[in-house]
Amino acid sequence: MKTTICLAFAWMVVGAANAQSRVTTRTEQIQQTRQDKIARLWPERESPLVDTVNKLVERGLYEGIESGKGSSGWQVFFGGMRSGQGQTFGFGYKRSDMWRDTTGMRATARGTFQQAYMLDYELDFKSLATERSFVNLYAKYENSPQMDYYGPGPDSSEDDRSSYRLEDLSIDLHGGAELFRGFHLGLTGGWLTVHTGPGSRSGFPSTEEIFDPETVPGLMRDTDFLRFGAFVQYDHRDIPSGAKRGGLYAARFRQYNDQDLKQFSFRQAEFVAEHYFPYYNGMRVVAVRVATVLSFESEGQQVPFYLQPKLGGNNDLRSFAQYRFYDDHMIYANLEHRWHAFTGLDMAVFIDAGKVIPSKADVDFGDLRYGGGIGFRFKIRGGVFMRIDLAVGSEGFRWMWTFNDIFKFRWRTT
Amino acid sequence: MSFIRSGVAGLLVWVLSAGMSQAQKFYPDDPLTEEPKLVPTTDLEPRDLSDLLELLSNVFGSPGERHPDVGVIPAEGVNTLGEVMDGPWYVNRHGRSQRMTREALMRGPGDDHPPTRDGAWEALTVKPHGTRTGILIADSSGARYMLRFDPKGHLEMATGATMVASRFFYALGYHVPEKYIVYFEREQLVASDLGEDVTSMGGTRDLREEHIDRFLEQVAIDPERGYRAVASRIPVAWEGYLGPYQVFGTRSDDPNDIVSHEHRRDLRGLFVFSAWLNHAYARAVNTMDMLIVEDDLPFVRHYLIDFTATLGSGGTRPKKVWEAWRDATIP
Repeated sequence: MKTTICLAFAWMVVGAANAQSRVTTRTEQIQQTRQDKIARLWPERESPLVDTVNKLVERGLYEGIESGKGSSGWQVFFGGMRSGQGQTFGFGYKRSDMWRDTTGMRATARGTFQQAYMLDYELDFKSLATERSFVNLYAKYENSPQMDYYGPGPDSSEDDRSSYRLEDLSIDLHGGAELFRGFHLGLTGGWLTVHTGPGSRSGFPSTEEIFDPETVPGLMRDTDFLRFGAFVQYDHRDIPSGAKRGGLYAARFRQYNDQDLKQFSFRQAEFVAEHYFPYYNGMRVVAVRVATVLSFESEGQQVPFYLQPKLGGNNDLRSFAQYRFYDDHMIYANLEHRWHAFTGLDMAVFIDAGKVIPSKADVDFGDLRYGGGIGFRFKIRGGVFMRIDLAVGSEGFRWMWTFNDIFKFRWRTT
Repeated sequence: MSFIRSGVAGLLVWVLSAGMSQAQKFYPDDPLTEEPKLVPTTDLEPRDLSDLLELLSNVFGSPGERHPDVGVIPAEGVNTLGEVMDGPWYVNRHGRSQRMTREALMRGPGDDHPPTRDGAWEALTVKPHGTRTGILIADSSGARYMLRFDPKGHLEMATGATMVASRFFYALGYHVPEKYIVYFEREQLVASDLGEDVTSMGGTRDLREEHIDRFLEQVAIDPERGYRAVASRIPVAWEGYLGPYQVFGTRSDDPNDIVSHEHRRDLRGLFVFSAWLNHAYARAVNTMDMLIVEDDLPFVRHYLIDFTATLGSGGTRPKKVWEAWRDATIP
């Protein structure tokens, strides 16, 4: 009897406990789950970061990464100054629809803890341009107190490393038109004033202490230049930064007229050709770039050393130090095999080769300096915003962390 | 001794009872073909997602519940036959009991409410910068549409892909806003007195006719038929917009949202359909929750939006061949 009572009691307790969950239909089961959730409802929360990041995107963050000019509004910089001056920090402001949408502008201020600094300002005259043309004004002041100099020529020694200050102010007007899709033609002209002085790189002598200013053209001799020229460019890359197919071929000719000392007038011709060979549906790319700079002195004139082509550093011959070689002429090539590692990261193995050349008669592919390595390219929407390259060559190992694309085209041609 | 015997009996009852309640796999109303009547949903607040933060979160993290190393987590949001039920996420339109007719397939989410032509369209918002550029308009009946265009040099690319893909996704069972191809001349658009132009800074200013002109300078134009755009009909009053849905977890303020999204069979299937249609931007930010009221019942319906990057279109340019491919880590 006791057992029967216990059983009945237990059944009642269990039944009561399960009553809420006992359902007779699937519909009831789902409805009960929904009723359970009603007791647990709370407002959706949005991360405070979402609004901030979305505003950046709406202001053109992605387009800015592709173009290298950043999004509209306030900007923060970690690069963009001459190499070798220390880590850059800076800020800027960009608008693309000023004065009833007739003008775009961008102003930046940047500096390093090594007391290098730079101010620049760009005005884009949209009202003067058409759909297929552009006119812009670019002004820049940059002070770089620890520019490296190892002496002239391809045989300069690592042991002769010295530093100098390079301070320049330039104002240039650029204008051009797209004659047909990807083919641009234009003119450029402006003013450049240059000051060189003692360098401040710790542990290395100032350039004038080990090189005779008389043998280094332009050292400690300030002057002003009027410069003007023309450019032509054919660009059929798929995207400007982190391209995977197509190519870019460009030439620029500029005349520098020494307005002050009348000793450093010259012409310079620059040629760049880069092409991208995709395969495996574009997941892998062989990228090739060949570039050369040739200088032509006017009668009795010289090319000042700070305007000579420079080789070495993060953007050309990566296994060699920044500005390792200076001379009147230069030729270099980069070959990269790039592959898509995962969303946001491309990797690459690369070979660099190049040399500076004192005489045009010696322009050839003999006696090149070589280097090679591996690189990591961080991307957003296809555009490279940061890269880390590790390179090794005859002068040792270098690694670099920069905020640009290795093949970034630096001329203002569009 | 009697006490022990009673205890054992009680334990037996508990085990049997619990076992019975868990063992019931089928109910008289199985298999359901439609979700049971929804619970009224009120007091929902819109919330946004960030494309960039989603990208970082998914590249460097693993949001949601993932399959274990061994085995898989079965799909949920299904009936006892494993089929997705008709409801606010999905509707079996083509395949379960009947096939859509050719006309219905072509009609897609609807062809009854194109923007009216008996008056000018009022431009309410012009957005020339950032993502999803377009013009929000109201036709003479007050219905709202988002106009999206082709990039210059690629007439019909994004708009054509949008029309084709939206019909596919609709036929596959997803909720898709009505979309119409429209051709119009400049005079069809007038700036609303309350209109806004979105600046390059992401702010707004009073809309003027020249803002519309400047926007239209950026888009492709058909030399014979005028400006071509896809007009996406805003499903209900804009106040019902709740932002995109996340592809994992559930909406915490929606009582009808009871299955983690990463386990929903309809959303898992979306992965396959998106791969098939080369929908390279099938991501959370390209979805939309709307508060719908039908038969006096307010509830959240979940939409797919923005098909501009499907098929061969990359939205603002032709799609690159590598887009929508799997990642590869070997050189």
